[in-house]
Amino acid sequence: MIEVFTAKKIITMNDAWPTGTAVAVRDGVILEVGTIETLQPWLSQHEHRFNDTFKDQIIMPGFIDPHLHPVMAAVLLPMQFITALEWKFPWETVPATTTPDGFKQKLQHYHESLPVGEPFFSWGYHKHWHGEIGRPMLDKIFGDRPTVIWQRSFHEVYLNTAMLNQLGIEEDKVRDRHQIDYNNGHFYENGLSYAIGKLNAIIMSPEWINHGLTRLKQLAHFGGHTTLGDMAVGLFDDLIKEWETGRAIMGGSDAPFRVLGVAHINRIRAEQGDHIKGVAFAKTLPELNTANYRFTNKIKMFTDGAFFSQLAMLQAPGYIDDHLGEWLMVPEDFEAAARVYWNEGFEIHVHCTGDLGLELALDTLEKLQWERPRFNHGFTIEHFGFSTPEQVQRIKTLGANVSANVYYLHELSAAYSNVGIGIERAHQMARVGACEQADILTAFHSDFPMAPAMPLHSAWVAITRENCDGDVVAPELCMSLDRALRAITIDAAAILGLQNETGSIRAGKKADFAVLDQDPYEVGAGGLRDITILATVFEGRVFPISALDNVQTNV
Amino acid sequence: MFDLPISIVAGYLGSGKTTYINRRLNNSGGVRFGVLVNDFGSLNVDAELIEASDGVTVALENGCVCCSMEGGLEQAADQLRAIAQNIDWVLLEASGVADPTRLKDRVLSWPEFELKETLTLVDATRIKQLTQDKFIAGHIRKQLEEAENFIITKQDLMSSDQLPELQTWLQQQRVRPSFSPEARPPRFLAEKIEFDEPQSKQTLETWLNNLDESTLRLKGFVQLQDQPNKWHLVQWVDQQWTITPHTSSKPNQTGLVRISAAPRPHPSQINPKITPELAR
Repeated sequence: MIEVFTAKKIITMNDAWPTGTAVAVRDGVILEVGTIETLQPWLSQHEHRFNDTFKDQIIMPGFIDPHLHPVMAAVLLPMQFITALEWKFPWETVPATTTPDGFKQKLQHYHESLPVGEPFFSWGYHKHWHGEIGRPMLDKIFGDRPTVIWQRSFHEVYLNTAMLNQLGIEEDKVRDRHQIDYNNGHFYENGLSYAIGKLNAIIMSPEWINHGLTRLKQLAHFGGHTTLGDMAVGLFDDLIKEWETGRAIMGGSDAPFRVLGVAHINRIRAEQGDHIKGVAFAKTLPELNTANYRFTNKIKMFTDGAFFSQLAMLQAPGYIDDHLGEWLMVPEDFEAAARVYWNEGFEIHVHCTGDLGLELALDTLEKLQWERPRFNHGFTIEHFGFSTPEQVQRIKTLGANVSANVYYLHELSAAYSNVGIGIERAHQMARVGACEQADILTAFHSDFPMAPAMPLHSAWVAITRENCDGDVVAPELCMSLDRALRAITIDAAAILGLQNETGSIRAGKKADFAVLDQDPYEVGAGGLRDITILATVFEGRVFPISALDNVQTNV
Repeated sequence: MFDLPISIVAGYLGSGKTTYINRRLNNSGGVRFGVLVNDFGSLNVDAELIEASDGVTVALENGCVCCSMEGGLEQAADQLRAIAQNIDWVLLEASGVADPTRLKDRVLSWPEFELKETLTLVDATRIKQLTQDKFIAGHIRKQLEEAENFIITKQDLMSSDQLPELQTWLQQQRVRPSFSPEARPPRFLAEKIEFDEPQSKQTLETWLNNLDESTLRLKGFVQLQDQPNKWHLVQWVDQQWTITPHTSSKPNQTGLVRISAAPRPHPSQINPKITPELAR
């Protein structure tokens, strides 16, 4: 049976056949897009029905987030958000809490609304807004309830006495330790890792992770996604165990999306012993595939440290305070490992945050191309924090792709101008406009939970380059609206190697749609964040976003 | 009070960290080593050597490395804490590109561990070239700047006049005073002490108060005269000690193990040669 979805406008993201008002679908696959009239040759010969649910709406290809971390997200999502900025989730809208009194009242409220004895975890505390807190104050509010207050940056945590006792953290062991303030229950930076080691029994428990993954599933649907990339399977745990944990929640027949997994090279090496055995193992991973939870021939590698922690490796002149970044793989090990996978035909995705990290990736790629040239090799720069104009040309010449976290420039361009690297380089972070000019295949990702999994919001950032202070940074690097929408649909599909399966609406592809209340090309950049996603269609099945969930995508 | 002593062994790839650690295990003098390898996925330390000395190896296979390579350290440290009774000393093999300041800060924040020394191994033939490397020059320079003790490896590949020149050059690279001016000597001796018969508590206390000054730690199980049916755990570190009732059944190992600073062998007896005094 053919199902014909009608719409006010169908935006296909196929330049050669850009729009329509009806799309015919059979067995989850698109037969043709056009108008009811042009579809007649199909409809006159086959049984069909019309689905007019979206006749007044806009249909786009389902959105694609090619890089997020389900298990990491699952650790965070069960916590109660109490934040200085508003966050919108399918299950609640978290209002902005911007004063110490407001924060205290929120804590009091949650304490009173929870069953006796149930632990309380909160994320989002920031001293700038919420004032000083500490163990005495938490004890006063929460009494015997074990309580954890996680700071917004993830790098600090406050525990009350009940939680310290529950975790067996004893005063005489931690009293004189670096970056642990026992009196205040405050564990920060290096001291945090000790607390996390103890907290793992809770936040890595199957119950917690499954709850978090369930929320991620809702969240991804809410953002209009029909395809996700798990861009480092094995990040936290035994690779296959982690994969199966994710699949159990997000890979069922009720899931409104497919997940493409890219395995973490160092996890494989640790489990298999070396990269030669590792690549042989990586080739067997597709044997685990189900219809919509899959591995292909991709591998995830790493050059330099976290962008949010200023551990990116920079070329001269480096950081203003002269601190060093961090290599996540020793450079010569990186090259040797890349060679093994390159020569076996793998598509290499490299986490690169700084311009020296990027330089290592590009130097390596150039050597590998010299040794054994490949076309369509899928070598992809992930994150793309700091870069130079000259490196963009090199990415193009070497045939590499870019999957960028453009949210960096929204959240950090102002801060890093003052503390970090100075305005010139800070304003040019996430150089995606230059990628468009060089015609490099470019996608956007959230790296969730590093940034909100809201594709239209990412597109808005790339087009406007407006940061959180409302300033436009390096407007010369703004992307066009069309290219930004490609970066969350067809170009993101190509980054994952799924461009023949999804990412645009054309004959032969899977019927993956996002249903919008407004036309992005009509509302323009300024209106993107006000567009509401009403439903998704995954392989022909409709997944409404419920009325309760039906809030704007603006964060 | 009875924290597990830990040594950081730093140095770039090929500088001989693994060889150095294996050698210490080979000459353990009865010290039971725990070895932490802070290099995701690599484990070249000879596991059999470690087992032979009743020690353990913990590789950093777990933990999130999205932000930092050190993500797995904490879990590994936890594994060592859990078996601290069976270990006398921990050797932490740093990643080839570890930032020594960050790594020291991390270890200093660890409950139940005490950082005793940081050793920086340098490959005599390669070190100068590495300080000019496009990607790792910054980390190598910092390792040299922050070093407390250098160990120069592959000296046999240098001519006799090259070595003093390299030693001078290394001294010039250091910008900070030593983090621990009295860094412990890197070799230990463990000796087993068994009393012929249960001692009185007073005798034992007097003995503990007058231990030889080369003693670094001492621990083990003994019986006391007035409680012959009970085994007591004795722990001694930094002139402080405790005697605590432990169990009435006989522990697997009885008697006391004293770890002391061992006399340093003549450099010619060691290959590759070490010169830990150089940084002083």
